[in-house]
Amino acid sequence: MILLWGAAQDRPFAQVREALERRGATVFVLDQMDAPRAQVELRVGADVAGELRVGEARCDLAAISATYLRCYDARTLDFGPDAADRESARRRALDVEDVLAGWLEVTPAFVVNPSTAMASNGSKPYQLALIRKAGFATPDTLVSTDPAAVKKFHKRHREIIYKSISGVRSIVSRFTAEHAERLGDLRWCPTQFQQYIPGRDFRVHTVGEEVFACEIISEADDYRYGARQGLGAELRAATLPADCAERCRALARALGLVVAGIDLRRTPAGEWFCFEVNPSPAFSYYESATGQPIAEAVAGLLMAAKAS
Amino acid sequence: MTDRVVLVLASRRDTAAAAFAADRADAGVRLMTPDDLSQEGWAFRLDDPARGTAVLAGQPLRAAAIAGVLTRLPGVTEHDLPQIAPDERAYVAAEMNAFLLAWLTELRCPVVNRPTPQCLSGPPWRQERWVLAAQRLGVPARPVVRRETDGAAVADIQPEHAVTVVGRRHFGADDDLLVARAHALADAAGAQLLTVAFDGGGHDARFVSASLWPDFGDFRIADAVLALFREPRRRSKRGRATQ
Repeated sequence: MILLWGAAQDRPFAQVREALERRGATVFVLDQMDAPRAQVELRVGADVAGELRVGEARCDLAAISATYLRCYDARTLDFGPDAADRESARRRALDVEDVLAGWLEVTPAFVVNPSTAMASNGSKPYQLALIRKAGFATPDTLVSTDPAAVKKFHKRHREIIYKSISGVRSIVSRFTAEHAERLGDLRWCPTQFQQYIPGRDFRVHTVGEEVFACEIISEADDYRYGARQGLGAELRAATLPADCAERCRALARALGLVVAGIDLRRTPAGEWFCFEVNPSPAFSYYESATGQPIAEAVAGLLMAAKAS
Repeated sequence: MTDRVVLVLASRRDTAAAAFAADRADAGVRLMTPDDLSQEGWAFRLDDPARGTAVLAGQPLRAAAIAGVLTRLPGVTEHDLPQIAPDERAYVAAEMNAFLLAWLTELRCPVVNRPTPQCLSGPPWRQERWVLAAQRLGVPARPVVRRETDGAAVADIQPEHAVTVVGRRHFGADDDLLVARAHALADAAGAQLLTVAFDGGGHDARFVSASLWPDFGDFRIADAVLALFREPRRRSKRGRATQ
């Protein structure tokens, strides 16, 4: 039995589900929007057991061999038009998810991806240190509340960017003269600055040992949000040099991520920089542009998994 | 030690941490709270963290001047940030957490407990994981049964059956078996500082719960933590000192 837990309308989630169904897998789906009416019991002693129920459908937690997660923050989901009902549903959903989060910590099932591994992406500089240890070049990075230190950093690199330290509001922006005038605001909270790295973006999805590389042609500071700058992006399938592909596999392994979305940039000099690794990548955007069978690969991995 | 400081990273609401820092100020112990992150002067370079600068009570503090950090703060919350505009507190809390994880991880001095991505105070194990780990170590444990309607149960800790592990030392229950089991659990979790509660003594005593936040009202525990920062860093076999 494979458990899929996420939002049914989410494209990567739907694509993995469709791929599993095409392959004839036995799947139990917990749509986050159904969580308020779900019931779950978890028993942990010498073994891990329990049951998840959604309406008439029942799932023996001990029978789950693999699970794929692509959950949204339940606090942000819209559970209906009535405010009181919505709040009640949200609380119930959070309670169900809390029990399931406990199950995820102890289940011997194959989990894509374990929450402990996913958490590294919550701190960009923390993850960047791990990326560096895995052998990728990383941009020079300063986190500071000190305007003088930032000015010095800017002077050294000439072009710098700033972005969130956490995973919240994580959009890359070029540092401009206008920002330099507001450096006094830095004192309230450490802010992350990075050397600007020129070059071509690549999004690499690793699925187990499989590597799917996508080249992105865009002039935007952050191609994901290019529309805000009136700039588009062209995506096309690419092949990485073998050593770079192997480094991507090794990085994902080092981070404990079975499925990962790795953001690379190749400089004009041919050096490969890595900026971050997304532990729950929205690969459907890249799959639809390139035709790369990423969802199929995820499904294959889930079906091949044996509980540890 | 007095020329270098030991930081107790804690919430502004952690009165036990504040009292300990005040009492041991002569030994170089200083309280650091999220307020200190809203001060001009922090500089953390990922490629050279040893040359970084922190800010404590408005004064710059070189990384090399930090002898150790005790992480009493599981994470920064909105309640820790009265100095920040209300609409920005959730974002700033996330940013400060992310920064502290990177900064603490890259410090070269001892940090107790080492932070993890989900908890600045160490391994954020849920009760389910503690119970499973105990069972696998051969430590009897009360099973966990959870349902969505239950809420998270908090077990009462009986001090006479609790052991606080501080590195290779321990405090609390005078029972060799409980002490050995508490050390085994702390080792399994990778925690140098851990309070482990049992429901009784002797061979049949069952694991009840574990906490990364021992009672700092007992200064013996806090002083034992300070001793960890004075010890030469080594990886030797356990040589326990009984209290």
